[in-house]
Amino acid sequence: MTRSRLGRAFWTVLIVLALIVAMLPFFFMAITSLQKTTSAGLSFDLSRLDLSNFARLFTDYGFGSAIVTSGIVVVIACVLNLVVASLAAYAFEKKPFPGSEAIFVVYIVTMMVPVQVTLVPLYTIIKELGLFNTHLALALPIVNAFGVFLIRQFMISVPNELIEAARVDGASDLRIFTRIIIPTIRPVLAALAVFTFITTWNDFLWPLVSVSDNRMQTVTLAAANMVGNLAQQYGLIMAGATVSFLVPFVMYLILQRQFVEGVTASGIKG
Amino acid sequence: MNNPRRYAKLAAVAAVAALVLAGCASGASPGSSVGQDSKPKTLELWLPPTMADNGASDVVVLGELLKPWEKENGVDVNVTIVSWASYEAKMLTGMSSDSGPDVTYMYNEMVADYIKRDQLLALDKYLTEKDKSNFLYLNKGQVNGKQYMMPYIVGGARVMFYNEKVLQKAGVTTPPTTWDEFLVAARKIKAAGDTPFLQEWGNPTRSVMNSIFFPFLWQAGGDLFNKEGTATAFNGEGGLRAAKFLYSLKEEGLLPDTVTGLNQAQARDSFKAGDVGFYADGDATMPQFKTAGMQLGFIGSLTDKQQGTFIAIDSLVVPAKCASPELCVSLVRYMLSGDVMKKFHEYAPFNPVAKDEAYSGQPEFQSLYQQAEILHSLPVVQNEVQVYNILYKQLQQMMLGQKTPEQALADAESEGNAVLAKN
Amino acid sequence: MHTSIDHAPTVSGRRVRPNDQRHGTPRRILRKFGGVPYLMPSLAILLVVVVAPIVMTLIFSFTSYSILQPGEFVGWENYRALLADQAFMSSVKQTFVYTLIVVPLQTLLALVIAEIIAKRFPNLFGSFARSVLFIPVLSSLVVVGIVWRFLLDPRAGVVESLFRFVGLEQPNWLGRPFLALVTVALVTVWKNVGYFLVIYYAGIMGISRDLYDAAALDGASRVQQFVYITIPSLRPVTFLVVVLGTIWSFQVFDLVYTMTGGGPGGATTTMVMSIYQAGFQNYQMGYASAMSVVLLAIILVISLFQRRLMGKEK
Repeated sequence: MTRSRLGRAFWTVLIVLALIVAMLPFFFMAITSLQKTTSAGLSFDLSRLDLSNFARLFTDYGFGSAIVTSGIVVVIACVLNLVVASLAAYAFEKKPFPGSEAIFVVYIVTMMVPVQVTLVPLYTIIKELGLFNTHLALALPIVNAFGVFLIRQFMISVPNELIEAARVDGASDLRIFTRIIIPTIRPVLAALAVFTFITTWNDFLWPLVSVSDNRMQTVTLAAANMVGNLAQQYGLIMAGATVSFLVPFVMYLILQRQFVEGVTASGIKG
Repeated sequence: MNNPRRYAKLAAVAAVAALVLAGCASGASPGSSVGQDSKPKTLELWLPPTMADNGASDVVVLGELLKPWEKENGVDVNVTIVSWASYEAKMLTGMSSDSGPDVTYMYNEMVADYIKRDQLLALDKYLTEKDKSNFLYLNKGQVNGKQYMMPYIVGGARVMFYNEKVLQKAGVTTPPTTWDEFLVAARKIKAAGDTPFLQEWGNPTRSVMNSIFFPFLWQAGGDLFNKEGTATAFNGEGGLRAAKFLYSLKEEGLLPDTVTGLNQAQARDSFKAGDVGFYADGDATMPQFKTAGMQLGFIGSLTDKQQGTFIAIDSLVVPAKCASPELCVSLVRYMLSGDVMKKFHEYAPFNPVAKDEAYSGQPEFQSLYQQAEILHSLPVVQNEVQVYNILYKQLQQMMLGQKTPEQALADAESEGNAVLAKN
Repeated sequence: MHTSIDHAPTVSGRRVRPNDQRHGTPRRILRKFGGVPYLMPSLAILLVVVVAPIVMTLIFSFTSYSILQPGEFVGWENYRALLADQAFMSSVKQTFVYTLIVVPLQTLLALVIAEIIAKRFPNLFGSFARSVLFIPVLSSLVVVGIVWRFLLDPRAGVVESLFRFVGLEQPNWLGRPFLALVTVALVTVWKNVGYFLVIYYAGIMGISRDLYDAAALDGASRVQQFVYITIPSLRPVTFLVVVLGTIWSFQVFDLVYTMTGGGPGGATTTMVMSIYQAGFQNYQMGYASAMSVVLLAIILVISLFQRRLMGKEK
């Protein structure tokens, strides 16, 4: 009895240790952001508790507009990605045509291309299309093969009988898509929405090069740019990092279940 | 039946589209949008942060300062503060797009590459006689005989700060003036249990060489490039002396091992913590050290073969994209005028750039700034940024103990010369 | 494989599709390629956003493009220079080393933690742990880089105080070349484990309970069960975790950019960091494009290799 009790305690301690390591940086971030400090440390001096860092983010560093910008870009990216990817997944899985599998292979290959490789040509294309400094330019590169891949995996489990039955009833393809497919794949749509949200929100390099107007900068950019030149105001920097992190975090708390389903779907049905 | 043709068609369309786009891209040159010489409603002004809180105040202060000019010319100036962290990348993408700046700020290392690619306007024909006699550093802003740059921020001299308490504790009664005296002082400090000297060799960017290497190079009589800017010169007697000196400091433990992992912020924090003897930084950092309660002194420049230290002379430049050069130059002239500069310097203490302004910077440094002969700014050489990146990496490897000073400088020289040869 | 069936007129009489031979061929083609319009938006965007840039990168790699000016055609010059470029070769090596640290470590950790939670904590604590361990995945690498850099500060960092508490001197995390690379790798693992943990957990949950019961009956220990049941059953999942992890590793940039800038002495310069430096700091976009092509080729080869090795049919 004691042996298993000891064993259990051991494993519990191990897991708790892992949890601490996972959360440590975020505690540090939060604690530092609440202090007006120019030195880095975990000392939490209650007397120095101070929300002014957060206030300054909005009054002096344009975080308000950065949040709005990021918000708009994220919404565009999510809507675009969900619509476009589900349509494409539908085609690949339920309405394949000669050559569609070959095209799907191309899709898979594009998922391996690092973003930095296509960065400059993409920048040139966006420039030529006159989309420089626009929300669309920030959102567009997020719409890629991953969403199609994810949804397709899930769509495999949509029973064909359902579709056939609808067809027998005379429904058009489009109707089948909107009335049957979409409701059935709602979980993975939610998961993809969360993925898209987080990827778009945390995107750094693309906004860095494709946006030259400071009024169009995203929250991640604004936070990164606060690492300054003269005096390191750690409290301020951490406040920026905290705000940047809080949004995906809250989304995660709310949509945890869908998220896990999405990650799972991308994993085991492969 | 239809599939191979359909597939091939798709591929062909994609390829053609790509080629067309590539063609468009190669053909596009910035500034090809020739402006009708009508007055634009807005001018884009890009500047780095110059005031202590990383940009927040810059926008406000500059906005105020520019109001009179905006009113007089009926033009709105849109001020964008570009963080130092991504300055070069942002400038690059900005300048190559149509929404880049009309007037902007460049430092010497950046300029050559833009001039080489015809990105900047030569301002000679817009300068009046009054301009030419008023501005103090015009000659520093000339490249290939043409006035591309108008010096704007002059200052940031790198000095050797020292913590008086630490020195006293170690029995160093007078601050050192020569390298040998510095060595003696450092040893005493180490014996007393403190850290003699810190240098941020772990900094992600090479700009720290302005504090941690170049002053030593110049003091030893060395130079960065030859006069024509066609070859590197740091692998000479002066360069070797400087590199060996710093290397020996690390070998002897007067520079702790941790320096290879320190970035600038961490080095400053360590200095503020109060158990470090010497640390080199720009004069603008003195206020923050004093606020941290330090008893501070500084040495303008140590003496080896001679004295020498870094000074920043950064300039305003007018990109070729500016549709109305007269207007852009007018803005530059306004920003450089005595009254405006005086107010600007209340927030960002740099030196006057023209005769119509008195020195209003930190009084402690005034005499240093008068010794023009020992103040070095970086030369303007094409591809020099790449050379500096190479040099920094090699010196880092030296400080890591991976290479001897001779090896590091030799490698930096050969790589650097290969880069310059492509000019 | 779906075949199209022409339906007889339905009871409601709404849709009548006569098996019309005269209009048969084009109509059948229409049905056969009925999926194409659905694919078009996605394909169009992908072409513009990914395919065209890849083709352009290929083209740029044969020029001396510098973003500010169109370059001239230089043929194989860039590739020739790459082969002789010590710094680039180092970055290739470093990327491989980094990947070889990150992928096995994160895969193993994710698997082991998933097993522990699945078997020993099938309760609220377990699900809480999984949630918490996922949180690092949500943060941006830029933020992660900045925060971890502070935590590892040689003087005032938290890690340093821990070491002091134990009485040891902390290593110069970001100041020694190989150690810096390891540190960046460890931070990457810290960030990714939660993601793969979720995948593995779902996989383990899908393994039939009976297998374990039978083994327990035979006297197999927990460890034996893990090795002989769990691991083999999770082969397809492991394949995914490894491939995804490898691809991500080869793409690492944000973390290196914020934590070390590629240093010290170029020790943490990965391939993508090299590409960034060449293109955006040295104004050599043509050269950077050639590097990109090489990187892409390497990733493709490795993915193919892994697929062959783990024999998975996609």
